[in-house]
Amino acid sequence: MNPTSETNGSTVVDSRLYSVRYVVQNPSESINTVKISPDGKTMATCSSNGVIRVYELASGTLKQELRGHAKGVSDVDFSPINSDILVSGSDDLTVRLWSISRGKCLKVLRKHTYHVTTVKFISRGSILLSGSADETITVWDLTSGKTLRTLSAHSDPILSVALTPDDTIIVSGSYDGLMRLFDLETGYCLKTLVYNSASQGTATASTSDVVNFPISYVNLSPNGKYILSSSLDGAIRLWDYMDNKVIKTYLGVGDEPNISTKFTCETCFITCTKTPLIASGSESSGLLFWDVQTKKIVCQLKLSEGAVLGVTSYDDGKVVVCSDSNGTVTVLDINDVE
Amino acid sequence: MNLSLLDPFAVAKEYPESLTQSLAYGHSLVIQFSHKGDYLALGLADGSIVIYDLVCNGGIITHLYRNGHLRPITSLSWSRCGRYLLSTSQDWTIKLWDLSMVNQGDDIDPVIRTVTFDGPVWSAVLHPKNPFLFVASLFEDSAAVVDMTDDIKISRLSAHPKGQEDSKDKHLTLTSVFTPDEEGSYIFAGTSKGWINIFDLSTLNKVHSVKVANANIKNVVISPNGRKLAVNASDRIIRQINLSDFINTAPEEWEFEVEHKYQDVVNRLQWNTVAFNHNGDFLCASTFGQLSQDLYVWETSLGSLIKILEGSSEELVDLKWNYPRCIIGSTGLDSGTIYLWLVPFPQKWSALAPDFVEIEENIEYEEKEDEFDIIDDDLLNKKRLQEEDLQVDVLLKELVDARGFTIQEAFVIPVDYRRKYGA
Repeated sequence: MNPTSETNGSTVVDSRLYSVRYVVQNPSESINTVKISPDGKTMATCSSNGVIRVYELASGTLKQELRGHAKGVSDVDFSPINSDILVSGSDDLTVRLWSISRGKCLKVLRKHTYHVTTVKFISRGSILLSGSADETITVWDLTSGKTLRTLSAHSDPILSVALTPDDTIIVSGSYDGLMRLFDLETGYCLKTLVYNSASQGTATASTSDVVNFPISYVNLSPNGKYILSSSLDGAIRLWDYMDNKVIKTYLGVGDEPNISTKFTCETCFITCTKTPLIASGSESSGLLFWDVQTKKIVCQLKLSEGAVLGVTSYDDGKVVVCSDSNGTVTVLDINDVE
Repeated sequence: MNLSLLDPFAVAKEYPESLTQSLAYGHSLVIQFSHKGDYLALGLADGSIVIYDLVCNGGIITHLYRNGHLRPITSLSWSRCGRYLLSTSQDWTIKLWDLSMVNQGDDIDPVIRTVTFDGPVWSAVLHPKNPFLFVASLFEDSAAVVDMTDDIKISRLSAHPKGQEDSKDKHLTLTSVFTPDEEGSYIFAGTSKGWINIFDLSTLNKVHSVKVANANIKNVVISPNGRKLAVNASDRIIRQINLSDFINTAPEEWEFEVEHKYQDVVNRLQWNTVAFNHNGDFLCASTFGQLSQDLYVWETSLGSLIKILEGSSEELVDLKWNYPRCIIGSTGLDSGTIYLWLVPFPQKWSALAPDFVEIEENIEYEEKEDEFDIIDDDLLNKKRLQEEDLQVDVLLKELVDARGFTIQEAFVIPVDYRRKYGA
């Protein structure tokens, strides 16, 4: 469990950026994601056996187990305006809204016809987005329980959705290799981004001879101007979406340049350090941290043998929590920032 | 951020053009958009208040009726921060609502202040900075400035013009507003005899009076940038007046020269409500009477009518302009429905396929010299890596949106997640 130091070519990879506060284990489960509540008091995990667990972030004490989903839960999200409210999306086709303090499911939202892969609140907490393997994104109005809109512009399962900080653009990542930007208000597609190795990384033709690797995770930079996409060709890319251009490519450590080719490994931005960092889980290299600007790996934490799937940060990255496919959840504290 | 990806010609439109939405929930008499433009509050004939979330044409965030008004609502006013809402009613009261306390269960009362007068209230406006200070115009009574910070302190404003305080004529203040500067330094009050009285807020002294019409003044509106004043009087004329710089000049020196008069000389229509857009370049008014069911939009520098907003099937009364979202909202007299005009954005189909472009007409395609050259992968990779060397700032946020409005953090009304749908 101890973080180990490794070398990446000539650069020495520092593993002392973060230290482990505690580890929670639920062996024989794959913890797909972990989220921290907006008040920083609790964290929620969801696993492939359908159970959602809510822990106290400070101590790791189990606070609540939310049961109700019949199949694995792929994603959870806290309401940004109410730390007691959690939403989950599951392979049983439902999206559920939970009250943590009551340990109860408040609402079951049914519309998707296949596995729900991702759920996301808008920052006002009144509207919910859910992406599904049925190739659609549904926009739910939680004040009326109605679906406001169904966005069906992808031709393969949707793996991830993200929102700009001003809640106006939905970014979706799909197995068809496309990222689409939708206007939340009108539901119109504003732009499509596709990475194509034969065209200098700009968005152009996607003809039959070009294979677009699935986009497994999308995330927005803190200022909302750039999109960070994780692709199953093993790279993470930072996009300037106004310009349709990849401006940075991040790769794995030395002999294992592919970050992930099978799993959705989440990413997050760390902004409390001297220069901003990107953190991402990986298939076999543990938790990786890159400098946004130099694209170099500044820290690698190999905490377990499993693939690190969920990564989330709190308080600009002073606390980072990650979860892996072997059922381990690790809470990390940043060491003194010089 | 979406605006910068949308059709720039549509984003640059300064006034809305098409009726796209109507909201029917009870009988609305008055409406008010929050300053950030994300919420719409409706004042209903039954005395309750409904707040819509305008983001994504969302639903009703809250319906305020408990401990609320008993008679129809006459006006609504949001605080700049969006957390407080002031409502006035024919039931003689004015209430201040703390919206952070709504949707929290029945035992929490969001009404934090109630002021009772001796008669119905025409309207009240919150101070631009202090949500516990407002000016109210009262039925058959003199206007009042009320400070509710701790206890309720009411100061009266006399309606007689400056220098005629002893006259026997009966003057009544029908409408009053704060100047839109940061401090809300002055109060403009319109009277039943066509006078505008101006009060200094710090001393509550009458600093200037000017007669602009020979009839009741129904509305006094100051453009949000403080440059223009519109006075709607019952003589069927809207007078547009250029305001002096009221921050840097003494009140005695102010001039009130009428720049334009707007009237419908054919139909001799009265105007119900007037509203400026954010920079005072456009003025919109709703028309009185069953004959006309339109809103008129004028361009204010030349005074020409540029647009008639049609589509409602009833007389329109209240009228409000949502600046950041470029929406005009108006209430129907008969049904109490809210009509919303906005700028429609065209769907761009080329957005779905990045290798397609929409063109107006056919263009002769010219092949670039190196278009089909085969370039070595290594070279390509090298070139790409070079391109990736540029500096990237993932932290610095935009300060203004594509329409030029400052991006502000605004208060978010709590959502009642436990509410049963359909109830």
